[in-house]
Amino acid sequence: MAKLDLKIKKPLDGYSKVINQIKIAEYQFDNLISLAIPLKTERKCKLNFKKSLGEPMPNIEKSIINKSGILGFRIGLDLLLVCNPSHSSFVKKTVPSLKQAFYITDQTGGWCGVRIDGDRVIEMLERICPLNLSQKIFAIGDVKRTIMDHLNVIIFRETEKKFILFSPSSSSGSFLKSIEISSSNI
Amino acid sequence: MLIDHPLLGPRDASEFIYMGDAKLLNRPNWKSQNSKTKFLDYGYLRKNPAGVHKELWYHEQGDRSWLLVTRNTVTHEILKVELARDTKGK
Amino acid sequence: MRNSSHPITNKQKLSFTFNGKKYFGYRGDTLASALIANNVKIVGRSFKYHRPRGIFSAGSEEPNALIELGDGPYKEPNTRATNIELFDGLEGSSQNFLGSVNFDFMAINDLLKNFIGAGFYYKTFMWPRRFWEKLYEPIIRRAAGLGKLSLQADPSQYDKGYLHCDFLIIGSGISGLMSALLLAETGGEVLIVEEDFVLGGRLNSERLVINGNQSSNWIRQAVKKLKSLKNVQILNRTTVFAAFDHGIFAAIEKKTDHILEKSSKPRQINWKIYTKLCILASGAIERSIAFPQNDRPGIMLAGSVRTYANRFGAYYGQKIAIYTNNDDGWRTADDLKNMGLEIKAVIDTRKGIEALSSSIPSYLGQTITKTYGRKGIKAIKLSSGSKLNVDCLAVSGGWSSNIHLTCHKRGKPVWDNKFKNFLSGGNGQKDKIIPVGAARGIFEIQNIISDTNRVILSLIKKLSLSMPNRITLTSSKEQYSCSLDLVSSSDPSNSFIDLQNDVTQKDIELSFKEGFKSVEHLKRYSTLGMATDQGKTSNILGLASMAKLKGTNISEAGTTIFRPPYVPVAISAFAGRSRGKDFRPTRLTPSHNVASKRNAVFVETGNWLRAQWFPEKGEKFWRQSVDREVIQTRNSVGICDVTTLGKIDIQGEDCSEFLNFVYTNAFAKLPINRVRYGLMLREDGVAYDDGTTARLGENHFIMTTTTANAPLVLRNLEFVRQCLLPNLDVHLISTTDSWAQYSVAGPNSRRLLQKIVDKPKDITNENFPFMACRELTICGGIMARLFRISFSGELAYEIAVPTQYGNALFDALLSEGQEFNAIPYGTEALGVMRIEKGHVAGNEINGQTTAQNLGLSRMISKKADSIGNILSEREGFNRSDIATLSGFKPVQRNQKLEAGSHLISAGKKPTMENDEGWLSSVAFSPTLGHYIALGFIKRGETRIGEKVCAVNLLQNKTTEVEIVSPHFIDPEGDKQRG
Repeated sequence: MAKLDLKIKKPLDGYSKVINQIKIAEYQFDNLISLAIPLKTERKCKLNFKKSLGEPMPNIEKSIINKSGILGFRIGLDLLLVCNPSHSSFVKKTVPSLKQAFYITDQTGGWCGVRIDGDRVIEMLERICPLNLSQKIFAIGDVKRTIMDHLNVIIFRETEKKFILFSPSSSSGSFLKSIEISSSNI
Repeated sequence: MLIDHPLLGPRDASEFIYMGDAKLLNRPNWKSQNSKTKFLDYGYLRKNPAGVHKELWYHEQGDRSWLLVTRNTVTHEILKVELARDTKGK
Repeated sequence: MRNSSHPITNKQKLSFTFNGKKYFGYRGDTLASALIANNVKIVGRSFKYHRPRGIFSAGSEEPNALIELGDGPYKEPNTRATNIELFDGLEGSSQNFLGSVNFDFMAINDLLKNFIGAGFYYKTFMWPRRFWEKLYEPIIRRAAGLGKLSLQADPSQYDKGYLHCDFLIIGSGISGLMSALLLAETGGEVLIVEEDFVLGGRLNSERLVINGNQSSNWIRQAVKKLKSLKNVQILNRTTVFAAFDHGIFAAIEKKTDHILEKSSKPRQINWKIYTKLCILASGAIERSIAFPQNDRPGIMLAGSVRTYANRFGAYYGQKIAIYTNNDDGWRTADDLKNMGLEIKAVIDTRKGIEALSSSIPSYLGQTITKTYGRKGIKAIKLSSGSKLNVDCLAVSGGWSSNIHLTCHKRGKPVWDNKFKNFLSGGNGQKDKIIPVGAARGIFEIQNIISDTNRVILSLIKKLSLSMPNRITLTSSKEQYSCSLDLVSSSDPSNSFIDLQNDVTQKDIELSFKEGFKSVEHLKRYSTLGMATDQGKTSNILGLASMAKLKGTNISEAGTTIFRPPYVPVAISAFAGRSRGKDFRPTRLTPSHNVASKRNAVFVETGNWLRAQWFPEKGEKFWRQSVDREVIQTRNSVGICDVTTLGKIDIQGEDCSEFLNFVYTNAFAKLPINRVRYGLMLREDGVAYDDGTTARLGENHFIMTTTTANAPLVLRNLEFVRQCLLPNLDVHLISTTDSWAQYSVAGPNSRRLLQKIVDKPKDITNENFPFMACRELTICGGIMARLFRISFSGELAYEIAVPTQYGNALFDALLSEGQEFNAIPYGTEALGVMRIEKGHVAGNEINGQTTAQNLGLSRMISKKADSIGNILSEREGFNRSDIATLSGFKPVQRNQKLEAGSHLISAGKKPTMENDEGWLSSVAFSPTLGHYIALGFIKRGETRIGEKVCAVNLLQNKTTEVEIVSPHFIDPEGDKQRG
């Protein structure tokens, strides 16, 4: 058998562009997994999370980032997402460790990340995001899930004016268009 | 309208799906007597009061919780919002 | 005429055209003020009688000056000249006339006025019925139309947006600005929304003194202060047009309407505003008085005449009379006199009052009984018999608080007899709209200042926020009192109440006579207040008139309430950017790029775009491609993207109990690495969805759903998980987008897959039989899942890889498959093959069929409870003569079949009583060489071989068909098991 090499295709092929001083770029990652907390095992999961990622398990709508740059989002009462940008031991070490407490579902191909960054980011988001973006309500490090331009979006605030938006990969083209239009419309 | 999600705070109605009377939480026992009649009531007879109503909303574009919302259908005031799973059996 | 010493004349000069003629105005003008300054008297024709009409007001309450703005596809009908900010190059025109606005052929309606009063259309055009559509309606529409659409797609962009604040302040007059200054000090987020392009509201129209200076100085200071604050945002050119529940408001911002250059930016933005509290500082709207011939050009609201003179230096006339029932009319007289205009008279309807100005000729306790001048007022006649020559008549029927928005929340207005005004009645909700200033029924400036301080400070106190100091302002002193003399007693058929809908005093009398006495009936019968202005200047007149006829007073007669939108809003602004292909998002499958390169024809299935077929060279007709794809797949191997099927990852210790409950059939005993077909019912026993579920581990299953139902099934499973069985350990994650999944079907499918599956995994029939599944790796270590399931009836597999590898895998399968002539096939071939095999799909599980209809009643396990289990036992579902799934083929093999045809026994008439079933899915079977169908017919399984008629009454076609087994090919399933 000839050795076949299946090349990875990122949803937006590494897109990057600046519109109205807003930098829009595909946020690429190697792995994205969800962690479900089995019924009545919150305590065990907290310990395991700390042990596996070196940070405490976040509360709902909060996040952590560990020293390897791995992000953890609590998006539901019993559900977390862990996003590994590029750390090499994630699949071999971190995932098996997490598996001892959580139910793990690989969602690497399911979501597309877009990072938006710039002074006018809030103005741009006001065109598609129904959430209150005031830092009193939506602090740095918060992560929320909502609907933008008909699509389900997980929005993570990195700094005052920098966000990562995760949307389903199959509709990522439509979502990118929404972001572009919102940026050029302000 | 806004629904004050017990975990996430006030969120826009566009994130939610409505499923009507919260009676659907109380599914009859399939082994009970007259189970067919009970299931017919369960499936088809819904309350539709002018006033305080307990109803089900699903946070589909959010954390996927099913919520039990107590709402006044006349003033549209929302009096209470609970996670459906916490209220089960109440 | 323009006052050449007014400061506006120092601003930039702008040119514009109106009805094709060129004029000049200044930056800061509205179209209305510029037209008045240019002595344009007639700006439109009335709705019903086509009477000449001039500008009546200076705001969004304008009933007459409806303008078509712009040209070609940019044209926008029904805009109000009084709201249009003048810009260089503006093109406007009148609407609703035939010929020219000065000589309108439709004005004949005016002479027929006595015949076409209230209820005319209801009474006249009832009979004969068929005339309505063909004759009456087109004529009425032509005659009574308002503006016309361009009938071209609007090339402008529109957008939507969301704003959040603690305090929304609607209006930037003195009470709005004061509220903003006070509330900003609490640290809360303040959003000020102003309809006008300048801030200051009514202050801009008045010659008031605040803190010893012109009020414009104070506005400037206040605005400067507010703009310097980080927690204050100001939106001008923005109208709040609707109030919704829980502190949500809709506002339309005119972003580029006042710029000629067609910008790439959106023209308007439809904002959704979320606020904790709303301060309604929307001011008040002046009302008219109904008297004979009160609609002539040149008869205007007195406050508006004052606005045009004070703010714009624009005078409609120079010999002016004021007709008033209140003190405010006198202020217009004073202001105009101070500018050197001739005040012919103030006619005050009130008896026994003293003239408020000694230097102006006044006629107290008198009314106007007649006016002269069809195309512009020339003279008026008083009840005393005097006739005065005038070229402008300023009318004031008193002021109504602008409480439109509180009505949107069902706040029933309450009557204030002191100022003859409806006040906000509040509403039953916690998130109240708090009116201040004139919107709260306070009309004198010194009282507005003290009352706004009081209302806002007590609000801040109640909210326990940090207390600011009250704002100390000294101002001119005003006095205001008002009577209810609103309706004339003579010549009712010429006394106009509602100018925009041409409702006269006579129409009100007719409504009363015919029994339409309640305000709600009056409104609908006479169309009072039902035009685009919602009767902002006229409703009180109509109510006063009806109250008088009924011998009661307004507070007892009651009022109708306003509805959203406050001003007309273009449909495009509601569509925003969701137009054309952007109406909803598009989902692409992982093989989309490869399919595009192969010239696939795509079909929309929900939001998905799926390859429907892949035309090859020389194929001109879709069936050529589809037939080839079916034949080649059945002969060798074909590959189809089935990623769109819903995939749900189910994990937890109680998964199997959960699955037993949501499916009718049992899953607990399904061995690991095996797949089972499952049927879901709704709780009412009707079939809901079907699919295969694979067990990957003791506590790990992968469920598939149909494409269309994927989100709905997940929603229902979450309902079961959280609401019905919350004590089970089950977790549900949609992985539809996470895995690319391809069907590999046909006798060579195994050989093809063997080329890519990593050794030593063995997928021979012995080790990987029908309905097996496995996690494995392919192409040298790529994680994959292989399912041996078949929708086509062939030896077939579905292979899944993480989506990021999907594009490459589709390519690899085709290139590795070259030696077998592997082809991609689309949804059409997929459909043909499943019909040939007799598998049900959405056409069969369509929400009207049961497990019994589908021949799947054996799948309902009675050992355990499941959704729909009990109600599937209903008598009607289990009668012996229910329609059951069957196959059909034409008796004359060359005949075509059509889905939706109904089945009637041979020799019977095609009636409801004789209806025995229907064809649900039809295809041409290239395998068999003729049309085949799946469908439902009574007792189908007992009638194999019988011939019945498939009747298509839409095309009047009857085709004889034979009832056969639904499994047209390989009924024993040898192929898929081979």
